[in-house]
Amino acid sequence: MIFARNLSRLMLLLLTGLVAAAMMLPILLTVTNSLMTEGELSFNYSLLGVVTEASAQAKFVNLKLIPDWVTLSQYAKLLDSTPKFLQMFWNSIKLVVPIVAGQTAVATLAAYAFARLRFKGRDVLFMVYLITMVLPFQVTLVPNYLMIERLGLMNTSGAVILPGVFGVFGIFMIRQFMASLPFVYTEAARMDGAGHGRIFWEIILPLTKPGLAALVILLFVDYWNMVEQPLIFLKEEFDYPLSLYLAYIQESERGVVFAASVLYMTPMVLLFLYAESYLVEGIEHSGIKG
Amino acid sequence: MEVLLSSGKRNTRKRIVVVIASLFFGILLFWTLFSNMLIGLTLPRVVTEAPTPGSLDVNFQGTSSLRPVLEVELFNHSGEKPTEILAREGDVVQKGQLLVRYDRTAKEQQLELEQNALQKLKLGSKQLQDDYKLAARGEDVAAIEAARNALESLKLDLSAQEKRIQMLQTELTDRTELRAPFAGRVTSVLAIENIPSNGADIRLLDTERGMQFDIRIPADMAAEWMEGDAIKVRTLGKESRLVEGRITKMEADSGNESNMPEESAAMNIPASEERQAAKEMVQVQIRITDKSLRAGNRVQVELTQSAGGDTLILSRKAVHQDRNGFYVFAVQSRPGPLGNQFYVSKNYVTVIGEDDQSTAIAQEFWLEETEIIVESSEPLEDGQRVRY
Repeated sequence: MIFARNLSRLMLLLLTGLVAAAMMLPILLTVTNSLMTEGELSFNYSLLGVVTEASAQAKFVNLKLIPDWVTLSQYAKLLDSTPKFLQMFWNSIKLVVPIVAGQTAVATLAAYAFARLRFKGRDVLFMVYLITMVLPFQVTLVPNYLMIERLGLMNTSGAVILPGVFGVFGIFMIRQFMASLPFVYTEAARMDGAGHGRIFWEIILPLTKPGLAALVILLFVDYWNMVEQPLIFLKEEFDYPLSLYLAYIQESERGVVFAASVLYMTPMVLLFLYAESYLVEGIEHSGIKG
Repeated sequence: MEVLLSSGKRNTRKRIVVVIASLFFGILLFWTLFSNMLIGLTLPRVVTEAPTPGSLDVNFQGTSSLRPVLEVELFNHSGEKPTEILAREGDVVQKGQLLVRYDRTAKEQQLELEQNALQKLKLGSKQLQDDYKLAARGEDVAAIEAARNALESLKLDLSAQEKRIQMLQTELTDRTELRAPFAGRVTSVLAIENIPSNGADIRLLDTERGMQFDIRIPADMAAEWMEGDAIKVRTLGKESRLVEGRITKMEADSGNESNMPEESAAMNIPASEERQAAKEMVQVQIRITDKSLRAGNRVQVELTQSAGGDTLILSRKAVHQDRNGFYVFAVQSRPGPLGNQFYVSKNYVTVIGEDDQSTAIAQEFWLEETEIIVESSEPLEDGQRVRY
């Protein structure tokens, strides 16, 4: 019996290990390949891109994890010779931080109203919100575009930030999180004479911290990777965020691709590592999977 | 306890993540702030100037050497040796003035012989007249006819002899002297006393017709002039002064190569400048009647043209030339990833005029505030990034 249980645990471990390895492989490959020389990468990936004599004979891409010669030259090249990368990196920060901060603030207040206040039409309004959330971006693109143009925000950061600040996902997630909080805290506070402001600020908000952390991470990842919004609302290339950078890299810069990818995902990874526990807790309470 | 340990581990990990994140953003920030400067250090450095609206006085200076309009060589047709040379080089002579006297001895002797022969014929004539009178008294028709023929024949001989003497006398007068055919100045005396010459003895310049010179001037400047116009010419030398010349001929210059090596014309273009003034030129002939001028004297023509109107003035160094025409390199500012970046923009311009320092270009659609590159640390190309 014990043996069977251990065996099943072992099998489960192996299975999850395999899945984890499969998930980790692209990231690991990106990191290790970013430390390879351009020549080594050209050889490994000769099958991709322009057909040469060498690539014509190759049948598979050579996915190597261990570099022949570890070098940071790709990073140096990326940072030294391609200032566009740095500019796009800060563009991303410039777009994503206000969106995340704005949407978190708006979502927290709106979620409090949906979760804790009782007013006529609350549930209907929330349903409408949910409907807009499930609509894909492409469906709301035209009205969004028209509104942005009317507001005179076209080709400015505001064209991306403003719709992001009023995103529905944050409201939905925080509302779910707040709804899971026991009402006894707020009832007790109310009995002690606390108003909505005080209840929100001193009771609900501290309790929602894990949910907010989870929201921040999910929003950051979502908007850090956005492609359509900047492509549609921004005309100038130097306003583009980093998520569009890879499109500008040429075939001869494979090493730069890997280096750029590593630097691109680093903020997300760091944010995840920092707030991992909050994320798990937040998702658990809100019942939402990212 | 376990919760505390777990919390401690979590805090440690958070601190590490914060340190890594700080490093990551710090490095990127450093690179953002300084990479532009580092890249900038490798770019060609340029010096610029902004063109200013205004006009430019374009000066043209051309020098040339004078040559006579009419100079003739006077020959000795008698073939005799000169006995007396009266003209000296540089003498101003009048029309008909005696220049060289030649040996008359041979001609005089021949004349004397011919005169003697004439006397002899005249003596024979008396005898024949008498013979004819005697024959006429008789009735012999043949004798009369013969006497008359002899007399007529002698008359013809006498006439021919007289003409021969007359010719010799003329020759003696004309061919033993060399006189000036027109008023002028003796530019060269080639005859040597008592030595027969085969060529010209005297070279005489017609001072009435004066001197002339040819010069090439830019067509746009020549457009202000026409044949017959007076033009100020400066004589070069110790006593430089302005004299008046007159344009006698203007024609389009057929080619760049000049058939007058002495002539030089310049738009004040420094020799170091590779640019060639490939402008349309006009060949102008100017005549000067000032009698004090000599052939070979250097003269200079100075022309000034104001390149006014809608023109912009900029340094001459800023204007370059290729096979398509004149161009300037302007600095174009483009918003770059890490602030403004400056690129070279090649723009063709219409040059209105230029002097040794400045060039006037047509304003056209040119912006006054555009910075034009005057100097650069490296040769530039269109689209190249620069720093300044």
